[in-house]
This record gives sequence, C-alpha cells and structure tokens, in this order.
Amino acid sequence: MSLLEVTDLTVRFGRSRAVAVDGISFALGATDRLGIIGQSGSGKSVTALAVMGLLPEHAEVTGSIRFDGVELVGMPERDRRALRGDRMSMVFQEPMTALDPTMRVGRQLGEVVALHHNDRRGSIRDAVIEWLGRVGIEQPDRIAQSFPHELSGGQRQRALIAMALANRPDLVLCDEPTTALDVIVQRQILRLLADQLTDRGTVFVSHDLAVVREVCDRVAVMLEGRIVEEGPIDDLIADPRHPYTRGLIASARIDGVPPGERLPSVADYYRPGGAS
Amino acid sequence: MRHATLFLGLACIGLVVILALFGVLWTPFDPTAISDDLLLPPGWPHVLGTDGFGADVLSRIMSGARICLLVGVLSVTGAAVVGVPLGVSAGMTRGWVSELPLRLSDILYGFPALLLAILFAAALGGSTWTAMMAISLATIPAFVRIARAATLQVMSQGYIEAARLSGTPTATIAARHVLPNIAPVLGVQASVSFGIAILAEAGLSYLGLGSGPDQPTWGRMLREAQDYLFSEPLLALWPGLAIAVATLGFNLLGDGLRDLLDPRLREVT
Repeated sequence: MSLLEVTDLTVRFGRSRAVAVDGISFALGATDRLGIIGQSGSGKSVTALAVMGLLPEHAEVTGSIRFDGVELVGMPERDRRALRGDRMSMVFQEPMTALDPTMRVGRQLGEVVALHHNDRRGSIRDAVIEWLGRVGIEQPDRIAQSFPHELSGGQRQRALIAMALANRPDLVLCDEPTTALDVIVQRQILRLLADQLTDRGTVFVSHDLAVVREVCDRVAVMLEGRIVEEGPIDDLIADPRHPYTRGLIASARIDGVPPGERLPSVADYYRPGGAS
Repeated sequence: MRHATLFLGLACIGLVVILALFGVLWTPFDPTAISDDLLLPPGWPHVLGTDGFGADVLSRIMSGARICLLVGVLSVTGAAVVGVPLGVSAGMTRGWVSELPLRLSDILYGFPALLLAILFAAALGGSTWTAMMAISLATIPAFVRIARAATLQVMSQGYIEAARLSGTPTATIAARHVLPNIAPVLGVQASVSFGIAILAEAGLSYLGLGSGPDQPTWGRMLREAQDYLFSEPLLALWPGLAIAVATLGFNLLGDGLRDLLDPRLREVT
C-alpha cells in the first residue's frame, strides 16, 4: 500500500474559483522520493500545502488525499493538527524567517518535540541536542542556546530540518528547501537531506531540475496545475516526452552550448497555450 | 547622543516616581491639613509655599504624584488586559468574530474620554475609581487596534507558518509566538497611553469629576490655584509643572522606545 496516494486532487481559490491545481494524481511508497518540478504558479507548492492541510480557508479542495490509508480531505482540523509535525512534516523555503526571533533555537525545537510527546523535560533536551548534532550543526549545545539571528543561513536551515525530522515523521515535504541558500551551502543541505530521508517518504518540490536530481529518484513535471509528465528521473532526462520538459532539460544543459551561441530557454520548446 | 529622548523621558518619570514613593513614607506636612499660614511664598519650612487653605504645596504635589501614577498604571494595565487579547484574536482569525471587537472599539473611539467620565460620574459619583474606569475604557480601542495591526504583520512571518506546520494549536501560537513578537509595539503604546492617562486624570479632577477633596491631585490643585492666578501665580505653576513633566516623560519614553525598537533605525546605527 502506498504511504501517500493523491487522486484527482483539485484546488480552487476564492470567489472566482481560480484553479491552482487541476486534477492531479500521484502515489508515493513508504520510502519513495518524488520530486515535483515546475515554475512559479504551476501549483507545486499548493499541492504540498494541500497535503499538509494548511491552505487558506478560501481554498476549495476536492479529490482524495490518502495518507497511510486514511482520507485527509474533509478530515477535522483537530485530527489533521495531530498528524502535522508528528507523522508528516515540512521543510520550507525561508530559513531566514521560519524561526521565531524571540525564542532560543533549542526551545523552538523542543516545543515541536513536546507538542507530540509528553516526555520529561530532560529527555526533550537530549532529543534537541541529538537532532541538532545529527543535522550537522557543530557545538549543538551552544547553538541550542542561541537566538536565530546569531545563526548563519545554513545553520538555520539545518535547525529547521531538525525541527521537521525530530518526531521521525513518515512523510516529509520539502518546498524549495535550498532556494534561499548559496550554492555551496545548498550542496551540503541536499546531501544532508539525501542522508536523512532514506527511511521515509519524501515529496521534494523545486523549480530546479539539478536540485531534484540530487535527492529524488522519480520526478513529476507540473505545468499550469497539471502533471504533464512523470517517471524515473534518469529516464525523463534521457527521453523527455513533453515539450516543456524538453525545454527545462535543454535550459539546464548550458555547458554544452558553444561560446557566443544563444543559450536555450524553455520558451524555445514550449509556449503556454500556443504551438510548441 | 543616541538615546537622548529615552534617557530624558526616563529622568522625568524617575523624578515623578521618586516623588510618589517618597510621598508614601514621608511628606514635610500633612497634605490635607488646613492651617492659618495662608498663601505663603516659597521659603522655609514650606519649600513651595502654602495654598489658599494653608496646606503645604510640596506635600500636596508629592501626594498627588502617587494618585497620578496609580491612575496611570491601573487604567493602562486594565485597557491592555482587555484590549490586547481582543486585538490579537482579531488579527489571527477571519470573519465576523474578528470584526466585532474592532467595530465595538471603533464606536468606543467615537466617545471622548471626558464624556465617558461625565457619564460615569453621573451614574456612580465622582471618585478616583470612576476616573480610572473611564480612562481605562477610553484607552481600550488604542490597544485593540495596535495589537491587531502588529498581529497581522507577525502572522505573515515564516515562523508562524512553521509553528502551524508542526501542528501547534492556535492558542499556543498566540501565547508563544505572537505575543512576544508584538510586545515591543505594545510597550510603546502603553507608554504613550500612560502620558494621555495622566493628562486625562488631571483634566477630570480639574473638573471635579475625579478624586474627592480629601485626596490632593494635581488637577484639583490647579483648579484651586485658579482663584489666586493673578496674586499668586506660582501656586498654579507647581501642579502645572508636575503634570507637564510626567506627561512629557511618558511621551519621550514612548518615542525613545519606538526609535530603539524600530528595526530600520537599528540597522543603520
């Protein structure tokens, strides 16, 4: 049985009922890693938020999201809250603002642990230090005592990853977790994620094919709210079917372009609504 | 100097607080005692002279400082205790539940504090408590609005989303993440409201709607001094000066705090 099974998921927003996600379906096994790739506004982040149950109130969700056999669409908020942070969690884009500036990092991490486990204080402290160490933070006991503004961007994203993993969730959603980081830190974080996510299901949302390739073995390409192509990432790169995917791959392979030549762009292969 | 306003404000407030605290333990004379030494000029033993009833002016100023601070602390605290939760919940939720306190505070905003106090005085009789309740009630809308505006800003921050992603209940988010982050803004508002409350209290007791005759307040002293404005102008100067220093102190403190906490200014320095 799949860990996550999304069937015909549609998300509409507001009175105009603008369609953000248009009848997508995918399934994820217990240790699968699925990349969702697409440009801004393609619906990939909305899909992740729909799975977490954190869409704004004016969003209308139809279709089915089954997590471990349980239907999430229409589930009472109280029950969904119990799942969030415990059995499913999310690492997201903004490490700079995702930590509360008034709270020490260790306490913030500890609260997430305490929220779902009524352990003794001492064991929560140990868990905090353990997880900070596990995500590659040096001197975890010192960092636990620090405020977010005293940390670097990479350290913050590591702390956030620790927060997402601390309760050993079955499913982790990553929404562009490396976009705000510089290239070197980005590599380190991707390696960390690849190491830490081996024994759980992962959905990795990004606009960057190279980033997705580091972490995922399967990828779905989203365009205008639909999944236009899905498959093992190496097959997809070797033999893209959809013109948009072809454009994505061509624009990522700029090192093969002779100097002085114009660089390829997605628009050379695919134009929205028009002929390719 | 970088924090000149802040320190000047603190100095003014410190002066009033010292007067008030000292006045609890000891005043040169009984502030309510009537004597035959009417309208003495400043000198010894009456450092600031005596008023039209022969009472020592310095003793009355010290005693008045206590009431002024008491009214300020209690009315601002009361307004914050009611207004902040309303404002925070209005900022965190959508729909009519969040609109209701906002509209109510708009209506309350329309009433001048003085009118409220007259209403209260008519219903309950003029006293320190009546004045305090009226001032407190009139201060609530300011806290509702500022708390809501600050909450809306905080709610758009990533750490609120992160807390929701971790399954944190809404009430916990309000207490742990929203309140600590809007506290600086509330502090500035409290300081400014404090200054207004002192001024309002003086105004109410000047009109005879505040404390009774047994309690010497600065506003009451000002009214009594009015009768001798041309013969003994100094008599009006002392309570007037006290009111000015106290109000100025809290306003400067509010300004200073705002400058100190404004992230844009902080980054520059």
